Amino acid sequence: MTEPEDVVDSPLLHQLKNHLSIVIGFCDLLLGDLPQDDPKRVDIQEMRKAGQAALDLLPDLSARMR
Amino acid sequence: MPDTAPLLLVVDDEPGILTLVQRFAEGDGFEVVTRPGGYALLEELTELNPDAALLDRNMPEVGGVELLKAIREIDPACQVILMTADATVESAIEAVKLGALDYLSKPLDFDRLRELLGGVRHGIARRQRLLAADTELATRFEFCGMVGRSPIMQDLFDLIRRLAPHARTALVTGETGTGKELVPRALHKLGPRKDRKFIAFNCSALVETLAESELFGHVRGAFTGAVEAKAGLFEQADGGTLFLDEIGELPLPVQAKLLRVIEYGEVQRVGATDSRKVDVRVIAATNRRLPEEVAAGRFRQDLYYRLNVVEIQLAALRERRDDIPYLTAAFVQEFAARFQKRVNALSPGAERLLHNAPWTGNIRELRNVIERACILSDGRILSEREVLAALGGGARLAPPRAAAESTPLESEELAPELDREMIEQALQQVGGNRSAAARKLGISRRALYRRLDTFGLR
Repeated sequence: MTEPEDVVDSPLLHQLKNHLSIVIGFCDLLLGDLPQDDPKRVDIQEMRKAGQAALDLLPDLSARMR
Repeated sequence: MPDTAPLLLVVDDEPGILTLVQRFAEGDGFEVVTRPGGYALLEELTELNPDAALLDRNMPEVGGVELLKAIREIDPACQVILMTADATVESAIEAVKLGALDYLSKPLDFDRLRELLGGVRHGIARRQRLLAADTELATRFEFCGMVGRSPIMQDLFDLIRRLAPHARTALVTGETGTGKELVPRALHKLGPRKDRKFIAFNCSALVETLAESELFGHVRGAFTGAVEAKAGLFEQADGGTLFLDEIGELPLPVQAKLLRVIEYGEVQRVGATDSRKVDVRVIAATNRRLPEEVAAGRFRQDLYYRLNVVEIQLAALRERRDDIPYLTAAFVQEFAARFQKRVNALSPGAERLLHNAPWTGNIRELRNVIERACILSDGRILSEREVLAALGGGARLAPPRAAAESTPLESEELAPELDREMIEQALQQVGGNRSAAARKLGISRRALYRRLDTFGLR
């Protein structure tokens, strides 16, 4: 609830956010499952970072769609 | 009692989210059911009966908020968490006002979700422990079939223990449903006659002539149909205890005969000229006020004085409300086992309702209410909804309406069919406070007012 109210104002953006949430969510699940020294963690963290970055673009995207 | 994992219902129109949350919650010790939402789910809710639900706010057909309302109505004990991709402060406040446990934004914060689900799990475990503890106490404070931890009951048990070895006659008084029949059995069991016969007789069950021959016996040919001589209950109970229930209903002529038996220990069969010696402990019980019956000429004064040498008075349940949790626990255990229900806890709301009910029918009424509530219950927590329906004299539980005709579901439209009696009862239980009554009934205040108008109660 940290975002301003009008961040997601179209069904398209809503869906995009949902999908990115799934990407990030599964990354979190995998990171929770894997032992701390597992080499795959780094890869997953990269995926998560990219997902989060895309998520962070949404406010911008929303503003430009006006 | 070994218990299964609590059930979490997850509803989202996005399959990925369902898989995600399922993976997470199963790892966290929950049994998980996922649904894509839609009208069909509304009809399935009662059957699913989840302990907790995680709902997406924005779904086609039925939104998370409507679903929240429906779940709160069916089972107020179910903890609901809403989730959404576009959280706003306003919608969060609305959700919490409607009874949601929390409001999560996507992407889900798993740490927060784990915390919430842990709270739900602990809450259920706590309610189960409470009832288990009460059941335990009920066993410990059980005395010859009577359960009571209250001072008033402990005094009664003491009195029975002290009287049991000596009392020749006793009168048990108390309102209907207070368990008067248990006292004579206790006196018998704890007394010197415990190995002899205990015979119970309900004085209201028979007409005068039959009552007489039943109690005192008759000789052959004493009246039409008396083809064989027959020993009465007094002779049968010789050396033991005879319990005369509802003594206030005994016809006056029989009362006179009864007095003679008690005073002289001699019983005369109907139609006989001689009498026989009997040694019987007589314990009578009544829910009538015998002094009033005496004043009205319906009960013999001498018999009354003979009987009330020892009077054991049973308290009404409302005079010992502290015992309600233990009695409830004992009954829940009994009926859950009998009906093979998995109910093993009470919601706080259900506890409150039971504690505050007027209980004019005393323990018998409480027992019947718990029996009905257990029949109605599908989950492991007995909620105020089931208790309220059971208190309402078996009012039926209305399933949420099929949603086909009602696209935007208003809380009122989903409200159960509340009859006048249920509303009056709810009002009475909260001392006339309408907001509290509405909460208790699970409807809005506006909806309550509308019903008050309908029933002319306003």
